[in-house]
Amino acid sequence: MLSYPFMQNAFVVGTLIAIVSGFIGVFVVARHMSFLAHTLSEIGFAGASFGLFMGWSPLIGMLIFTILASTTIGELGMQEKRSESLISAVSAVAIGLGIAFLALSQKNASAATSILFGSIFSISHANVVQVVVLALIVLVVGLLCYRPLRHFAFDYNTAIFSLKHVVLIEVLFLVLMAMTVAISSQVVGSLLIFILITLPASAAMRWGRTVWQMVGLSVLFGVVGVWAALVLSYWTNVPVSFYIAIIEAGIYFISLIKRDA
Amino acid sequence: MVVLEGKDIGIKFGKRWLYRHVNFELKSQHVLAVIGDNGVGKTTLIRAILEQQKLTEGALTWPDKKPVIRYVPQERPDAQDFPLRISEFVSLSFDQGIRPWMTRAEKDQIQHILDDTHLVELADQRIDQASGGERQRSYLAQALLVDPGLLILDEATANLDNIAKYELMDVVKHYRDHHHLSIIMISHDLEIIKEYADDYLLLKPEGSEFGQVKDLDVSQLEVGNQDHA
Repeated sequence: MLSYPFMQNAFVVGTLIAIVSGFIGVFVVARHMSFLAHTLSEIGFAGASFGLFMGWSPLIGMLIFTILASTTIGELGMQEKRSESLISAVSAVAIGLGIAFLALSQKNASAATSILFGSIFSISHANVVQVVVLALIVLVVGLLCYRPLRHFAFDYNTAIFSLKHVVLIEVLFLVLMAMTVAISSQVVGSLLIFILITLPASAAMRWGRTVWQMVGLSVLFGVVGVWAALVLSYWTNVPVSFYIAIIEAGIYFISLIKRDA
Repeated sequence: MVVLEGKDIGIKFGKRWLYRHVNFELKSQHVLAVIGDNGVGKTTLIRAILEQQKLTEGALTWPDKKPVIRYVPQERPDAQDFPLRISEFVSLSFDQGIRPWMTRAEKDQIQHILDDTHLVELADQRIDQASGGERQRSYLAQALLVDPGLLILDEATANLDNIAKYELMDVVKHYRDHHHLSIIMISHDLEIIKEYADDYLLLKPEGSEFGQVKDLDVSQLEVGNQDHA
């Protein structure tokens, strides 16, 4: 199975993305931004189809759209308490744009499904390099900013007074989140992004007692889910996204059953 | 020695003045109680000290070097949401630098502050399951961890029972006595103010009053058996 280059690519990319999403996911969930992450994936869909329309790689279009959107929404939404309605409005525009660009780009339906549901087995070598580089950037920056991010995400009410550059941290966090969304959608597609960002982290946050434990568990859940899904998908010919969704949701449901002892 | 001086402070919201001509000073290692009716703008003054709110007139000056300030807000929704250990929650204050792990010295500091705030035995307990008093002491420990020069408490004792609130304030007092710490506390609790504060600043729309707590005319605050502090 691993002798096929497409399987090797899938494992490399899948593992890295699971690690990055698991890591950033903990901060996203802690900062109560799961909903924004989900909206970003819809914006990512618009970006990816824009990329297709322009003849670029969908990943580039996605990066541009998600980073622009996350920083704008962040700035608007942080100050206002109406963030939920704001996010819904933005997400409506994004999906509309996505459909429009997709139609204009005159690609067939398979381009659309691979954006929406992921296409890890057909990922090209150039794409692998892009994902690896981006994932490493997010990881390194995330680790270097671990301390401010931790305070920012887990105790926002004091972090805004204690952090010297709180706006900078906020923007940085949103950009990291946008990049994570863009690269994760390579595996699970833009529709199912929260499978890798929100679910492993949410489950991990019911077991972990320190932020590192949460990050560790979240990464573990993500990686185990992706590996198992790749193998199962290889054997059964059912899409990877399906298995990842089932496994991660399963882990999350188990974490819910666990009593708060 | 004076840490912070407020001269002729006035804050205006729209067309309404919250207050004008507020004068006060915070002496080193003193506890200054900020009192006044709900909505008079106590928290607004705190926000001005934290540079989150502009003064309409007057000035806040730090005669010496501006100290490290730690603010303990009243609302802490995040602390109820995650099952972090109390020691981990306290350590969130270490938010500078690029090292993702804690150094030996930092771990010692955490241990030390847990000791000061009587949290050593609770260090591994979950913050979201701690009692009100334990949680307030955790907030306090988190704020004191970086050894601030000025601590601002916003109604820290408001939801505590009689035992827990004295326990909390004893910790604050003990820490103040052994470190270079000055304290501003917003409080409605006259007993606590009389017991622990040195000076008071009474904010009123028609003019504020600053003085020593021993001279505070309590009768004006206790109209009809109700505390108006």
